[in-house]
Amino acid sequence: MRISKSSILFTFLLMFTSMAGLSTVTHAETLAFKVGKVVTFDDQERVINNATVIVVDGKITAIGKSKEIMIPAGAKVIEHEDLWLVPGMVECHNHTGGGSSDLHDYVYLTNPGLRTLESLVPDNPEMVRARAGGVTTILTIPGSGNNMSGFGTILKTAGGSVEESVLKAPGSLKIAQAGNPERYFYGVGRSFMNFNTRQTLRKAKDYHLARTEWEEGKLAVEPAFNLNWEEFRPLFRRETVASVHTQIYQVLMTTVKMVAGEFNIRTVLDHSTFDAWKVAPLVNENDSIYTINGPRQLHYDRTQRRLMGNAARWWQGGVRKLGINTDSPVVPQEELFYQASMACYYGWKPYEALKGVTRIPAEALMMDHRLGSITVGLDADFCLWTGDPIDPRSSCEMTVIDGEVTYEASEKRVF
Amino acid sequence: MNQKNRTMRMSKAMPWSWGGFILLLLITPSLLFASDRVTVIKGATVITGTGEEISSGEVVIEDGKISLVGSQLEIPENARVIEANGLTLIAGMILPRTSQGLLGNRVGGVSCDQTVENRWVDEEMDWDSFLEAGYVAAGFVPAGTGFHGQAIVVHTAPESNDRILKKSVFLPINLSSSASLHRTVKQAFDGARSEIEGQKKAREKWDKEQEEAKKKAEEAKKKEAENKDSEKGKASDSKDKKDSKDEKPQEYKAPPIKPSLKPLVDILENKDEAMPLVISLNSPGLLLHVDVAFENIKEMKDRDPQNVFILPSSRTGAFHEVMETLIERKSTVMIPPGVSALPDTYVRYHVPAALSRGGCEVITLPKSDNAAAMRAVPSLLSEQVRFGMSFEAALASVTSAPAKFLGLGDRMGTIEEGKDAHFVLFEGHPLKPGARVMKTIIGGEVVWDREDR
Amino acid sequence: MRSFFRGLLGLLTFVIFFADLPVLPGVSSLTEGIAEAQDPPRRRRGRRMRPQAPQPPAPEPEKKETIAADPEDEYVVIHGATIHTVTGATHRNGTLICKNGKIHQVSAGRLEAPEGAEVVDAKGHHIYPGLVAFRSGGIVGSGEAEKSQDPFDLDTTMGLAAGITSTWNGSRVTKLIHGSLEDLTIRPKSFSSINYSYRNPRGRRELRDAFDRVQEHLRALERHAEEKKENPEAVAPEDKWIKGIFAVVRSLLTGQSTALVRVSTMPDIRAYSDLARRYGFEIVFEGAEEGWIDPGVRSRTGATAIVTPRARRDANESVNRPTGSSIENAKILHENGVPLVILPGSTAVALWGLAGRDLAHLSLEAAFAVRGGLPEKAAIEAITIEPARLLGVSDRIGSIEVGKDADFIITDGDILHYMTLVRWSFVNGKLQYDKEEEGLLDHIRPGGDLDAPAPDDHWPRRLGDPL
Repeated sequence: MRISKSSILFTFLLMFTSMAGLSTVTHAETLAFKVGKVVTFDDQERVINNATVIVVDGKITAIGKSKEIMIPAGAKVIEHEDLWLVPGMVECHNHTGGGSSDLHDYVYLTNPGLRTLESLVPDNPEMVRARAGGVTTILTIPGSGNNMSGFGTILKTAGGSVEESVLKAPGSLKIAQAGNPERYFYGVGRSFMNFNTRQTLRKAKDYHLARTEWEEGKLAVEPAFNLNWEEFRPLFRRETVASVHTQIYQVLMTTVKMVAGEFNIRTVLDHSTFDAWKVAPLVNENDSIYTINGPRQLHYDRTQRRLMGNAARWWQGGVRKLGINTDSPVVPQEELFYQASMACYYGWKPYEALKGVTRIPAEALMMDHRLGSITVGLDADFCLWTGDPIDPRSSCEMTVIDGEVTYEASEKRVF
Repeated sequence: MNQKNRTMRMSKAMPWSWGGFILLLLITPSLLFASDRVTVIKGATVITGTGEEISSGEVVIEDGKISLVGSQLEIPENARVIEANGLTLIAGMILPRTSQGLLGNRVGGVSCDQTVENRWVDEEMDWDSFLEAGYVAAGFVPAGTGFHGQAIVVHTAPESNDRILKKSVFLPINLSSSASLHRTVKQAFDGARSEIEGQKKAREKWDKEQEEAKKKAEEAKKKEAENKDSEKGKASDSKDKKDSKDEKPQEYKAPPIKPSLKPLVDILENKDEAMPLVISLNSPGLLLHVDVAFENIKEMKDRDPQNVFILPSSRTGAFHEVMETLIERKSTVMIPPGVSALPDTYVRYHVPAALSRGGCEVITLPKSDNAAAMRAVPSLLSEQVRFGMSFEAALASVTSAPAKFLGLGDRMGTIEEGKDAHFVLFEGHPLKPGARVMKTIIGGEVVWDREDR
Repeated sequence: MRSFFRGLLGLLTFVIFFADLPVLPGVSSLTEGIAEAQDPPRRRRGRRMRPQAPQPPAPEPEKKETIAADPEDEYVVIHGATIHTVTGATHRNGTLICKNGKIHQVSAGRLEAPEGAEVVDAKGHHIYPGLVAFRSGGIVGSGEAEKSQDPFDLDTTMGLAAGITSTWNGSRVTKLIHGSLEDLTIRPKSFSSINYSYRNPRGRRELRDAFDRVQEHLRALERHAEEKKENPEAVAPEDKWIKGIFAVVRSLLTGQSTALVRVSTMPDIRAYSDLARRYGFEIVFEGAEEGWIDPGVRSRTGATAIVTPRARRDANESVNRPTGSSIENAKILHENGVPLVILPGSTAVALWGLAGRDLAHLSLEAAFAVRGGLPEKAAIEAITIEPARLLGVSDRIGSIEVGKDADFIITDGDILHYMTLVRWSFVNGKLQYDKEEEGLLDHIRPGGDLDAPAPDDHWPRRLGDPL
């Protein structure tokens, strides 16, 4: 058989080029990440050294020791033996989904019909920084200037359009029980604020019950459609959560008893700062309450002259469904990991703290079936770090969202 | 002629009327004094302040001084009796520092000469409020900051011509920040030092002048001696006399020391009449700053550190940090009563009681400088006892301790023979809650009586 | 066929010698081997020298058994810790001996303590020089601290708990000392301030004119000094006009003072650098968020940079040049030889809740510089010896060397780690802060226990509980 020179030359060239290893990746359907360590936060809480994670079509399909995992043919191998692979962080209390403006519209003490869905600016500069800080999912909620400012949206920090990035809307109902709302208009106190919140929730629940009856055929006349109350329905069906801005233990007690207890709403206690940890026994009585602590990680207790770490005191009080937030832009979104560092500085534990910015917030937002851990079948949302993610000395080298590399520090380091 | 006769007749009658008049004059005082010469307080529970408590006791007062203390004493028949009917008698309370009722502006800077003498109108002062509270004597200072004057101790009887018990008793210093403390202390003592140097220079100058004058005189004398051989006569004698007159040494008139700095000059020169400094410690850190400020004054460096302090009424700072130092120095501390808490905690501690147990001389001040606070002092004293001060120390803190500090310890503060007869009669034990002042006695006279109100 | 194989060999040869492709295992070293085969093996030049630590004086034999000490002398001895001297070696399980407030001996291994010494067993801990906060607000008194410091201030204690032992309060380099007013001030230090911002072109012209004029005056002074040797009647050049900005300029030109300027943008940095090089005065840049864009500019002036790694300045997309801040600012400046001092964004202690952004977490700001690529050693230097050098007190503080002040901190871990707490702080050889005694942070990881229980804070309070 006579082989032509050109064909042999071509073969060699092909060999060389494939062995040279092209470093630019545009979009590969199948990716294999070979890394030094994977912290999965899966149900078995596995941490695997020298591991491989396979991603197909934006979902995780295999996780295991590199020796044991078969890399499928045609997979693009991204090999970084010195990096950690950690689930993308999940932020429960973000105000920068709309860029750095459009934080809050408040007209009435409660105007729940508003939605942040309308104010999102996908891929805004804050999102770019969020990705560089390892945050892949955020719940953008309106501010806390009034008692009920609207419904928040869960979205990923990548995607050129709202449709591409939004995961769930309504992501949560934003309730602010005390603090900032007290400055509303002429100044209101807790009695009025709590009454107002209750009556609003009551009206919404009544609407929901009426509409449900109508849907089940029990009513003859259709109850009038009301834009204000329509968004509440998933809340009362327990398909979405209420993000409650609440702090100081008296106010938390109201939240636990009224919002979570009386109205049977899945509640996420945002902030939970100052001396709110004293409510830990009450919180533990209700299985579906998640406590996401921040942005204040420290509390100077003026009755004992001690610096308390909020998260540490919650943990010591027995609360295990405990996470951390930034309330960005109060703390920049890319520093979500640093909030976890501070929680540890003041007494919490590193593994729990890292879980508190990944798995726990995903569970709190009812998104743990999609993200928050490295589990087969979940979205491929994770980051590659040079070491312990909550050590400020480590940096995020690569962010993968839905199986696409959306940030690479080697191209341009943002943080 | 008639006038003369009348005069003659009158002059004849004069001796008798004169004699009668004179006799009357002689008797009356003894009549008067006979009724006031001896006063007795009977039937009181006497707490002497020296450790004795005499139930159903008697105190005999003569000429405004205590002459006998005891029970079942022999009392002269014409003695005036003050029935105590079971009331408790203690030595009159003394308030060492107050600025109540003063007129005029606040004093500032270095003004050690300022007193209250031109700052009050005696008749308009509310002595009643002092007496109602049980205070028989008070040390007045002008209100102000910095070195704001010097204290005068007076007794508080309502109408009196010789109120002042002692002048130039102490120098208060009241500064709020450490920076102003350093600045003012330095300025004050630099000023005093320059006065001393000024005095020295003036003296030297005068001495020099005297030297020169002497020399001139001697030279003149020599010339005289030479001339005497040639010129004899009265002229030269008279000249001699003149010269001798001129030679008589003049008195050295020292230039006056600035009055506002004179007390500080006395302190620097360590004179006996130097007044003690009383420093307000408005924050605990000021104690350290006081030590540093005085160490920076070279004349004061080797002396004992400052030892008389006034602590504030509200003690929310870290006063527990300086308590040890005060106890070590056995300082004299004037302090309003009250419990303190360690900063930013609920842990309570009691500064006056702790200082007293540690051996400091504790003097109790009213919580604020006004009548209502003065009246509240006895009940607050009972609170001091509850928190650990001894009965004796608590009582002493308003009687013998301030007396000792003001230099009147030989005259006041306890009920002992020879001391002034200034007392307070309480209904109920003065250190138990509910005690009220019933009578206040100064110089043996009841100057305030609750029943007269 | 033969021609084919010849071609192949040619290609292979080409590949082996001229491309670094791993065609065969171990082949990449082939070229190296050839190179070595051609030259005789040479001794490697420039053998890397281990940095020499200042040698501690060899202890005399009798000191090892019973070290008799003069009862007047106060000794403090720390055993068992890893000593990071910063300017020298790191000694594991070393001993640090301080005498009368100065560092007396530093060694690896255990040394016997002199009689009567205060001995601290710091096994498992780390000793670092006390951190120097270049700028601070509220942790020491202003001006002359001996006159203004509150000796019992909580902020001072918080600074000590963060590891800071010295700072510049705007006029003097001051130590953080609790409960005493002795030996607070190290020495006065002031910087000159000039305004050369491009926003003020007239001001720039005036400043340059001032420099020119003062420079001319200094030359005239020199000429006059020469003249005076021959003609004692010579009149000195008039200097009454040297006031205000002229006085500042003169102190810069004569080297008596250093300029401290706050700049952010690259054009400003260039302008100040040019000015400094043109007139030859010392300058320090504070902020310099865009310094990374053209680090050479800075390194040519020899200027120190005071940076905040997390400082954020958004890039201005509308201009046609690189702009904005970068987390790699510190690394790039360092690689270009610019001395670095690190400061956090806020230079006061904040107890109201947001953690990690204030002066009390100075060492973590340095950790962020490491994130950007700065070597850890340089990061630690940037909070110890470099600020000491900048403030002109590096003869007294900033590193652990024999003869320097005994200002050091003993931490329970690597100072750049986010869970490290200061266990003891010593200033002037005296204990100023003890984590277990102070009560502020003693309930957090006492003795390294990650599962320590909550402090006993009487909550919920029961009737009858002691207060």
